[in-house]
Amino acid sequence: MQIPTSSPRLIRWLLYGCAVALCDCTAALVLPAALSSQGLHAQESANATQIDAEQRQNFEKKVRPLLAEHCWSCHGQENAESELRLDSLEGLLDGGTRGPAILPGQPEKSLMITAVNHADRLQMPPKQKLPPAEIAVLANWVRDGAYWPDARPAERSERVREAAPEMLRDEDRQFWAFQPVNRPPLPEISDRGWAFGPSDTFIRSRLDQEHLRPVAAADPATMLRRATFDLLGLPPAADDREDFWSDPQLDRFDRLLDRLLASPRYGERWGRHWLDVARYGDSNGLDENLAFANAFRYRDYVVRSLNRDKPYDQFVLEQIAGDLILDPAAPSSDPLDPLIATGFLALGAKMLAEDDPLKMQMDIVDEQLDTLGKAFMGLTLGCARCHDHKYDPLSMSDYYALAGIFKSTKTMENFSVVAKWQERPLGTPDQIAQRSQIQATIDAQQKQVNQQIAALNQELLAHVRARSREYLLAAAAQIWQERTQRSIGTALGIAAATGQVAPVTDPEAGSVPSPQVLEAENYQRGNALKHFNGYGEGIGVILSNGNGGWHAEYDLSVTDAGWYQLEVRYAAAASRPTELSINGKLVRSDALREVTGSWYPDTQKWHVERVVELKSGVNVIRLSRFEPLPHIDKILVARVDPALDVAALFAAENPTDSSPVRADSYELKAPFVDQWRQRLERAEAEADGPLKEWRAWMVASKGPEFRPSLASAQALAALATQTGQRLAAAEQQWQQLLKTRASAQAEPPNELPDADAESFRKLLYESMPGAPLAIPSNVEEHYAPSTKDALRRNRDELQQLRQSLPILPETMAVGEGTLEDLPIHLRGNHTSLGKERVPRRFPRILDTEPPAPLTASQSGRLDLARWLTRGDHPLTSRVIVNRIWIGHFGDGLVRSADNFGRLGDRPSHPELLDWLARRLLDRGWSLKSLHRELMQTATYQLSAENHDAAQLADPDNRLQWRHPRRRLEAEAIRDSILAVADGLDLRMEGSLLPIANRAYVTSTANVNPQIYDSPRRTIYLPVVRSALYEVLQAFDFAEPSVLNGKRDATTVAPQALFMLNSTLVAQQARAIATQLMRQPMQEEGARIEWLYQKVLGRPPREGERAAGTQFLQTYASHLERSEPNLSSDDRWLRVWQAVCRSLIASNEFVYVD
Amino acid sequence: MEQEHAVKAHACHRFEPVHSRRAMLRTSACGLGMLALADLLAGDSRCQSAEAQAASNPLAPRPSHFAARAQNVIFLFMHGGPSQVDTFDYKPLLERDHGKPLPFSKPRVFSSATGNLLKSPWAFRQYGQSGAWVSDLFPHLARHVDDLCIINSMWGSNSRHGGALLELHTGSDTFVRPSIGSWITYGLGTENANLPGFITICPTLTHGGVNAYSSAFLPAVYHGTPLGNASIPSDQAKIPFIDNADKLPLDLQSLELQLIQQWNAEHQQTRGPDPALEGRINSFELAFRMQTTAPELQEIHDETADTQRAYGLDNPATRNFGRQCLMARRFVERGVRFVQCSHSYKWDQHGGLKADHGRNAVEVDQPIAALLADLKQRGLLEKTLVLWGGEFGRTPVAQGDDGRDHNPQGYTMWLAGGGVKAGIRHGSTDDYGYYSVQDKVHLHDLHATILHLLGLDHKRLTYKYAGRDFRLTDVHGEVVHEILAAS
Repeated sequence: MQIPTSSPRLIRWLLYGCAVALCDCTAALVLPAALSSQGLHAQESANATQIDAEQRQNFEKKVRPLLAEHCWSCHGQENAESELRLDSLEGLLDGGTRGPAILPGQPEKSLMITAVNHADRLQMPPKQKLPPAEIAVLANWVRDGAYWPDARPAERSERVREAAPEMLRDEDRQFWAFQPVNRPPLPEISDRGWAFGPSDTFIRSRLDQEHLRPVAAADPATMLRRATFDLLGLPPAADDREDFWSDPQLDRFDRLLDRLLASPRYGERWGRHWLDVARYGDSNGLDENLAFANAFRYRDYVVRSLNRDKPYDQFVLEQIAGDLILDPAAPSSDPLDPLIATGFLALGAKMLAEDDPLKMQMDIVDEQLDTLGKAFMGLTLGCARCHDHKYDPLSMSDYYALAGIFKSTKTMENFSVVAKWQERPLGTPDQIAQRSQIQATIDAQQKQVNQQIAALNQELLAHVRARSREYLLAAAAQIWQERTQRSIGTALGIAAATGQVAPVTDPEAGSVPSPQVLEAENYQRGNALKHFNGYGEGIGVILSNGNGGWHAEYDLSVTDAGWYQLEVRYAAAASRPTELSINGKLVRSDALREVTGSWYPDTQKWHVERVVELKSGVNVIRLSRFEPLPHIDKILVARVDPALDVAALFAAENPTDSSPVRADSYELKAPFVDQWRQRLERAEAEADGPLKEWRAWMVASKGPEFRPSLASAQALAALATQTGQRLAAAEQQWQQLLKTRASAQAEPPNELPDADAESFRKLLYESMPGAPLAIPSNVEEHYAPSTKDALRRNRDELQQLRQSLPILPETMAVGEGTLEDLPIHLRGNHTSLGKERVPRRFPRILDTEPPAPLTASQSGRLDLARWLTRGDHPLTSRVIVNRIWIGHFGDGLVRSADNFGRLGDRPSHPELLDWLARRLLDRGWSLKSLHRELMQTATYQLSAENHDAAQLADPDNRLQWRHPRRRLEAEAIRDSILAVADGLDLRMEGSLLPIANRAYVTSTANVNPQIYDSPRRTIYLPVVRSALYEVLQAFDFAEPSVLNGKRDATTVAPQALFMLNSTLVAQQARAIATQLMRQPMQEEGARIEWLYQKVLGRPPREGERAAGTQFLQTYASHLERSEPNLSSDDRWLRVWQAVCRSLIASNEFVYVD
Repeated sequence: MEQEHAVKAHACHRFEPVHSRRAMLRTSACGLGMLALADLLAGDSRCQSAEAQAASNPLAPRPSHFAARAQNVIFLFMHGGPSQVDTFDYKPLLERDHGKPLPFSKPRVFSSATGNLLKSPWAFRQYGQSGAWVSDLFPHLARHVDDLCIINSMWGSNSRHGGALLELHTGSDTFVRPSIGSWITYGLGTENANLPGFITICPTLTHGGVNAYSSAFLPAVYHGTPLGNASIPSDQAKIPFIDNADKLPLDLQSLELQLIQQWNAEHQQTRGPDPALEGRINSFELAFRMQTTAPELQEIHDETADTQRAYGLDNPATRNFGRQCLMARRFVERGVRFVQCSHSYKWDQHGGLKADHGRNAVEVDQPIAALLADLKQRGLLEKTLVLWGGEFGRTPVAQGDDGRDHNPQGYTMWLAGGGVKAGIRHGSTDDYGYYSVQDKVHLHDLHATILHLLGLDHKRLTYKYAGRDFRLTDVHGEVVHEILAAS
């Protein structure tokens, strides 16, 4: 690469800063022309040849003005958005960030042409699509070689294609967060007696520097409450208080910590903190909100791990690569925990209905990477997806190097809409092996069945194709019938409906006999239900109930063989197409399909169904449907004018076949006849294409003046024959072509060379819904009976195999996928890729030089996890120390818990942070030791009192001159309310989500509030993304779709409404009041005291007692007035309930000093 | 400027030790809740200047960046995606070429396979002075076309309900981001301290659910307050916890409130001044006032019979959405900044277009017409921006023989009031109504324009989160100046 300047600053700007300029993606960088690069293709282009005068004229008159008007303002000399210039041929050929703009000669492969067609996401010009004529000018110009008068091959030059090579500044390297963790010396402080331990010296030394003094230590009662809430998320229970106060030793606080850290409630409390970081949820949220019914296993794993004080390095390792260190035979009580741990990567919120599978996959990778970066390193890696990180030394190469690791990881079963995430079985190796063996058999069997079906379908389609002419004639017959019915039938129908059955007269024929009417309920054979009330009020109808195969058969005698019109009177609120058969032959599969508006007699109407041929004597009419029938009242059969011999009509034009072809005369498959009929009917609107000859007949037969005639039938039959022949010819050519290609061992053809023939071939091979030969939904009904039996047997076997599959619990987990290095995705767009793949590796700023190689046979996740937990990683230990600090001090030494980068905050006590991080490593990554370390400091044990001078000097308490007063989190509030009322169920683990795995949690209008009606600790309540439990929502629960290392603590009115009005508070207050009423003491003051002890764990002060006593009387008298019928006991219960609620609602209850 | 704005607005709920009267108020989300408290606390807690309140209360009205045309927004959300070619985008060629294949290529990404062109089952007619074409689906609304600014050239980026719905509400079809109502409330505050600034009536729970009205990383005070959800008829839709579980009368509740506040005052005296504690005391006052204002939130009994009838409350078909519209008017009348009404997930006609679009239109047509008339008659339309539309439109080509697929490539939304040009159409789709081709308006552009009408520069309304300044329009969006009324 040639760089035309020696100024390092300019180089920096060009190489790194330039990408920074792209950050907001609004304007691409214009590089100085001298830097413009990319070997030029112009020499090879069509332009090398001479341009003729006509071309020159065309270019100057049409092409250039177009480009100038619509393109150059953004892609010209002034601007070159996306690094693309369209004001020279080399600019076009060279292209921009998305690659060359044109491929001369190939408009369909030219990005510029697809863009001006607005055929894809990239749409140019963006505001307004060009008129078709102008698009054509550009397309033709590209097709003709993209001639450009006087284009000269430009001088070879270099251009930076992918911004920002790996150039790291000293400034970047020296950033505090990337320095090794130090072991700082302890500073001298003014009052050595004040410090309880080494960490205090760092705090005190900073205060000394600012001439500030810490406030006094908190009293033991405050410390009891503070420590208990901090570690357990619950108020001290009566027993705990007793233990604490009865312990006379000076070190009773240490023993309190021992007890608290040993409590299983600790894992629940701190597990929840970690779940905020892991953006835990029990449902997908985002778009398709499906149940993550196995997510709870990860939650339980977290609680378990923390309770066992699993070393943090192992905790991290398991969550990133637990599947790769799994040893199911390990002598552990939970050998599968490492697999469950990878739920961390799997349970993010995903767009499961993303149409573009690759985008979905890259979005999931991005989510994993972003979460991992923030959770363990405090780095906002996600920022480098579309451009080099604006502030931190993280390049796109760094991003795609890491993204490759997760692209090579399997998280999803598929990326279809709605996509399926992966779950892995939890079992012993033997169980899993056995299971996969059976599964393999199932898969093989299923494949066989699928193949069988595919083959049968092909066979069926081949049959239909081979008999195209017959199908066409049958379809034409149906059309003719429908159209003629419309003209002759309506008259009959109306007559029948009014009871005045008049013979229809045709000008050319005499009269016909009167129709016969059958009452539907008088069927001879059948199982349809007869109703004479409700739906059949006063008249009697047949109907049916549920699926089950319903039918009704009627024996009908006619004297004369011949053609009869069949009509049915029925009501239907929804379409229920019914099969109509005559003498055992299906004549119509969608009879009775009209909707009349209701299921009741008031909307019953006559509908003409079919003209059928009946024999002399008894005929069987059968109506049948698998699903419920419409509500049928009557059937009418009327003789069609004998002069109009329908059979003759269709026998008339049939040059190659001596027998007449009718819809019901052959074993034609009804659905294909139907599909052909629909296709032919659509030809009514087609002026072009293979069926254009049909249009005239279709249009003509539509009008009211249309009369059935021999001529019209002949015309239709002729059309069918003609099209049938064309189809047969096309099919023959196609088979021939296939054969020729196969024998030449050439690629199979895509189409017939002759466009006309191809249009006919397409009719036979199109498979999308609506095509004549689309596979019908009930295709299997049309297989031969023996085939059907074989299929059924195979399926039964499959079913049995499935049932024999051992049921193993499953967990959301990742695994290794197909190993792959990714190219840089320009602008983060997966459809515009950089040229070279970035090898998987760690971010350069944190990596060794040269980069540490990853294990070649793996995705790199295990390397990544090991690298993160190596101990000398500068971020892993600092980040977790800071998270634990936040849990005890309300805010971090680094306030931006999830961002240790340049835009994050700098540590208030960098030496302390390092000292604690070292301490954590020295103690084998034990988090419980870290808690003890922090809580045993004088700093932690300061009171929450105010100090004016300190307040003024350090209003944010960054220097820790006091302990902050904190509002409880949502979980602690709810748990405390239940706990003080003795209503908290302390059972651990398991799922409370009553929804099947992968089922929709919330539909448009339904979320089941009962799922929160559990007295279990809040951590066990389902976290339904996109429809969070309102109590949690009201109290700043962390948005469960994104990582959150520090919650807000807002004070908003809905929280007060919850205290004043919610069922939860009302019920628990009542429970406490009920207990109170059972206490032996009667005196009000004593009762208030009992209540204070119960709810706040302390006796009331005088003023508080007085306020309470005064309230009792006033409230009681108000209550007596508003509800005079209450018994005295009930009234006092209500009064005490109100007192309890008020205490729960009070500030002291929800704040910890 | 925007930096300062952002800081002021969100500093309000962080813990901050007290060093000034003003700072004391900052942590409170309800700086006005000082009235009853004044009796309980020492005299120095009495009310402050309006300026101090405005600075301290994150929901207090705030000046816009420049002169605003609209004060409030009502968004009538047609969930599912109404068809443009059956409503406001008349395409004679679609009618002519019914049944023929689409003469140009369909988009690369689509929801499911579609067939040939399908003409609208409804006739179109021209209405009003503007002569705008409206289909027979909207006979009532058609009488108001001269008040509408119909944008025929909308387009978005996502063809699935979930992504498109999020994009419409938040600008992002991939991530959880603050919704437009949250941004606006964050930018402008609200004018009625007794009501939430951003209300969404019967929101849908699917396709992103809460994310469509969540404040995401903005402070929680800007979260939309849901009244019920789509499963609840609008006459039963309420603010969470607004009704007492035991149906306590207000006098008893007010006694409880007094006791709580007495105890809180005692507590506070032992702890010294603390803005957080005081903020919480205030929040109880506000909550109680909100509860006493509840009838305004839930009931409409003081509306005349004529009004109720105009909104269709006497008709089972129109009752539900009619009530939503009427509530929306009541809210903007009382200063609620952003109100959303949702006609939830009804407009997704992959099949049954004729029956279901017909029924849907009946349910909303009269109520929306009544809302426009009512706003106008009360002089509210000038300062209220009404927005109508779904998450995308539908294809002019058929799915089955009576359905249409999703289509974010080109569709129609309309605006009314609030400083938009009335009686115009803006932009257009191609001859068949598939792609937006002329004067295309992306959702980002619509968002930028809505903010502009409210006096907010979409590039200046930012919030710093995770190390970046975020805005509703991300890095996109251009104000559609052509649809702004002359001022």
